[in-house]
Order: sequence, then C-alpha cells, then structure tokens
Amino acid sequence: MGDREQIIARLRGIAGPAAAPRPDSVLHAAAGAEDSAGERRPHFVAMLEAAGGQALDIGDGAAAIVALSELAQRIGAERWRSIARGLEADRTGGSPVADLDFWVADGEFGVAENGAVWVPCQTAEHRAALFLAQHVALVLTAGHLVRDMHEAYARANIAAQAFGVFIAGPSKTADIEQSLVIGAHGPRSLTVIFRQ
Amino acid sequence: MTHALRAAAFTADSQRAAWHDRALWFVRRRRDDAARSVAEWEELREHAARIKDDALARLPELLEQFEAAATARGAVVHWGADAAAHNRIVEDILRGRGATRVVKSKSMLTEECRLNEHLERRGIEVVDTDLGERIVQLRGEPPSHIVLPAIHLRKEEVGELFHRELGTAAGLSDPVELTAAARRDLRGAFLSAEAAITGVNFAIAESGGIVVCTNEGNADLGTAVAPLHIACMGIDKIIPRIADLGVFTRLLARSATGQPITAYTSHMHGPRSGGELHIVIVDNGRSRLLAQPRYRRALACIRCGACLNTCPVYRRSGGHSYDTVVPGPIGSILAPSRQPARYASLPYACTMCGSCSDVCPVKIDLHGQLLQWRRDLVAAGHAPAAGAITARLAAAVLRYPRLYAAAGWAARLLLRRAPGLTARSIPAWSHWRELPVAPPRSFREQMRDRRRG
Repeated sequence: MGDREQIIARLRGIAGPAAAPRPDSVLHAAAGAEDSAGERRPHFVAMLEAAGGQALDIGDGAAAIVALSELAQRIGAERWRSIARGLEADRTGGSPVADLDFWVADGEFGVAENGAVWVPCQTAEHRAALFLAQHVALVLTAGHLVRDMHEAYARANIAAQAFGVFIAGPSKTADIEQSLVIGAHGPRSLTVIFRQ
Repeated sequence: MTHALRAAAFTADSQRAAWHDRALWFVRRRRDDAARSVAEWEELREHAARIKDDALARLPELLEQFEAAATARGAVVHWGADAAAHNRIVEDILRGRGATRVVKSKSMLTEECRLNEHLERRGIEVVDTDLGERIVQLRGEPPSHIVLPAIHLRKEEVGELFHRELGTAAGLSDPVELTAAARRDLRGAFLSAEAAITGVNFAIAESGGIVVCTNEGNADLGTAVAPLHIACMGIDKIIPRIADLGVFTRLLARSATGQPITAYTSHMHGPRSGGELHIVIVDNGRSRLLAQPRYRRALACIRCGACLNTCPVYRRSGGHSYDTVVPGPIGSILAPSRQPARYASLPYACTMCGSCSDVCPVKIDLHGQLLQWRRDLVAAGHAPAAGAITARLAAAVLRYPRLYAAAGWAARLLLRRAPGLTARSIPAWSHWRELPVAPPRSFREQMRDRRRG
C-alpha cells in the first residue's frame, strides 16, 4: 500500500465527532469606520502607511505619466518600467528584471481594513518583478476599495491565474531584536497610486 | 532532561531572560491592540474554530478533493506517511532535475522532518531565506520560536555571526545594516537557485490552491525565480473553501505580530508558466493525534505563535528549553503525542493561567489539554518519580482531617525551627522557590478563636 492509501485509510478509520452544520465563512461585520464609502479611503491610506507604504494621487493622461516619472526620480530609480494600463513606460534600457529599480503595475482593488492591494499576475515577468524590483508602485482606480478580507475574497477571483497576491506595504522584517526594518528581500518601498 | 533543567541554562543569564520576556510581551500587546481593533473578533475566532473542526471531521474527503483540484491545475501531488518519506520525496524530485542549490522559506514541517540535514548529507545545498531562519541556520541551531526564529538572540550576537560568516564590519550591530547585509548575501542565492521549497499556510480543497504568507517576500522571490517549486504541508493545513480565507487572513497576522495582514499573502494555483509545482502532503503523526478525541483540536492550530508570546513560562524560559520543533503551549501538547517519555515534563511547563487559550485564534483549549496530558502521562507511568510520591502522600494527608492537622503543625514547626533542613529535604521544589513564612497559627486555629470570640 502506498503512502497515499495508507494516510487516507488511517484517516477514514478515525471515528470523529458527528458532523456539525457547515459553518459560514463570511461574517456580517460590525459597522466600522471603513463602512461608509467616504471613510473607506482615508482608512485604507492610514493602514497602508502603518504597513510602511505610501499613497499618491495622480491625474490622468500626459499629466499622469509626468507624475509617474517624478515619482521614479524621487526614489532614485534609473531602470524602471510601468505596465499599468494607460501609464505604460519602459525605461529599462534592456536590463533584466533582477536589475530593475522600479516596477509599476495595476492593482485590482484595495482592502480598507489592512491597506492591502490585490494583484493578479498573468505573466512570469510580472510575478518576478513584484519581488525583485527595488521599489514597486501599484495603480488603483479611485473607488476600487472593499471593506475587509471577506469582501476581498468574494471579489478577487484567486483561482483564475497561477499566481495572485495581496500586497500590504513593502517587504519587511523584525527578525533582529524585533526592530522593524523595511526592505528585507523584496521592495524597499511600496506606493499605491490612485488614478481617476 | 526536563524542561526546568534546560530552562535553567537560559535563565542563568538573567538580563537576557528579562529582555526576552519584555520583547515577547511587546508582541503580545500588539496582538491585543490588533484584536481590539476588530469589533467582531470573538465572532471571527468562533468561525475559524468551526471551519477547522469541519475540515478535521472531513479530512480524507477534503484531501482527495484538494489533490484532484491541484492536479487539474498542473501541480504534482505527493504523499508522505512520515518524515523519512517526506525527505525521500523531496530528495527524489530535486535529484530528478539535477538541482543542488535550493532556497527555502519558512516551513515548520521541514524543520520537523529535519529536511535540511537530510539534503545536505546528500550534497544538496539548502539556504534558509527567512532572515531569522538564516541567522539560526548560520549558527547551526534550531529556531526558538515558530514566527520569530531568532528571538533568543541579541543584535550584538547577530553582528558577530555576520562578521564571521558574511564579512560585515566587526562590531556592527545595527539591525538595518545587518538586514541589508543579509539581503545582499541572499540575493545571489535567490538568483542562482534551481529550486524553491516553501511551507503552506492554507491549502484550499475546492480550488487546489495553496496560500503562503510572509512579510519578507522570501517565499515569493524564491518561487518566482526558480523553475521548480516544492511546497510541503501537513494534512492539517486543509481548509474547505476559498471564502474561508477571509476568516483566517484576518486572524493570522493579527494574532502573530499584531499586523492587520502580512506584507504578502500569495495564492498559487498550479505551476508558473514554464515551471513545475510539487505539493508534498505529510502525515507524520498527525493522524495519531486526530484519533485521540481529547487532543484532536490541537490540529486546528494555524501556527500564529500567539500562545508562545503570551505564555509566562515560554517568555521566561526561551524556546530552546522545550527541545522540540514547536515550543510553547501548543508544542507542549504536540510533542508528548510523539514521544511521551522524552517530553513528559513539557505539560508541566505551564502555570495553568489559561492565557494561551484566551488568545488562540482557533480556540484550542490549550491549558485544558496540558492538564489532560499530565493525567495521561501519570497514568502511563511517565510522571517524574518525586512528583508521583508527593501526589500520593498529599492524597493520603488530605483524606484524613486529623492527619492534615498534624501535618500542618509539623510543617509550621519545621519551617520555623529548621528552614534549611526543610529546603534540603524537598530540593526539586525549593531550588526554584522561596519557602513560605510559617504563620504562627493555622487557619483552623484562627477560625476556632474567631467563633469563640
């Protein structure tokens, strides 16, 4: 008998407690600050900042591209690329993903309760760049915010692609004496850009 | 060797022990703040407990559902009955691809199976990439905490280690600069790795997906770069539905570190394009625990570490004093089910304060199970001899009021006249505690006087 059959047989042989009614997985959360549409964004930004990230508003069209370039300059990025819809830009000079200073991509929506952004990845390059680039920015359309993780999982189609990730702030660690250090292995900064 | 004796080595450095206690209490307070910020916290815990109970009750069915769904998405699912099978499976996968350079993110299961040793003996280099894990790996010691692997070390010790191993400047002890040095060192390992091994926080039966939560992004860096991903999970990691993640992601990081969510919560459904994903499902004693009705709920654990951070014994004795892969209250429940004789002292590393049960996000009755273990270990003959004799003596004395009164009188006399002799006659007890001051009169004498007066 193989290990699989052995494990399953062993588990089937265990008389557990009688099956209880299947529990709900979605809570009807108590009313909170992040409930009203007006309060949701300030709450999201506060949680994002607490996670070490920052928020930025940019306009649209040409002004938005200029604002993005300015952001790249502020964080000292020379080799960078944006695959965000309507904000495409390639300043990589042919550098491989591992050498990128800055990576910009779309986020699908943000989560008010914890400052996380849902990022489904369609390509291997995108997936790698999110973690290899020295800095990352995620672009959100204004108003694309959900209240909490229950709403987030109802909205994100997490099984639609091989890889999707909730990102809350930059990479961080507190493994040395509980001192928070931003930029452990992955991005040293995380900006959420709101576009109209 | 008992927990108390191993703890003595840790508490000998009283400054370190005090610092350790404060550092973990700080994490515990952050957890409290995070829990209080969610109005429906208790309701969330209740949901999580019921979802886990449901999953444990339907484990074989959910595991098969998970296997079918994961396979349909292109993952290869393997089953290992024990640690040896797990290690052999991982080794075979790596050998089949000729991989000798491996990066690994945090996985308590691979620690439990001693995978690193197994692979390194066979010429496969494994680099732990979680910063805390990397630190203890370079020191050649096991993690002392399941979420904060190097919490037992001071920054100066990490500085010395990095000076020796990574060539940082002597005397450097700034956490920012030390982290930067590790980042530079590990980048190379990430970029040249031929395979990435990760743990699994949650495995979703309905979709065949796995979820990995990290703050550093190390699991994601490894799996995004290396063409081969091996994810190792215990059979207890299964949750039924995608929607259940809403409950668990809200609880996990808040309970662990007080963060509302980890920096990265990654969902993997099948391999990345052009890559391979292997999922190794391991029992290694879990089904034995599941078969014990009094302990089965311990398998609901999501490894947040909240019970460690709040435990007055763990905070003051350090993780290594448990001599187990998972220390603290939850570890003291898991370990005796594997080796009762070896770990018989662990359920006694507990004050019965119940704080662990109060903070547990999946509502495991931790202190109740620890008390149960004491009963079971005594019944199985694993109780320390001195404790068993004392308990029998106490039972006899407590049964007869006259004997009790006489014993009380004798004890008060001894404490007053010969405290040194009293202490020496009960060394196991008095070594760690101060003898009480003997009251002039017993409680019964005082009551008698009061009634007369």
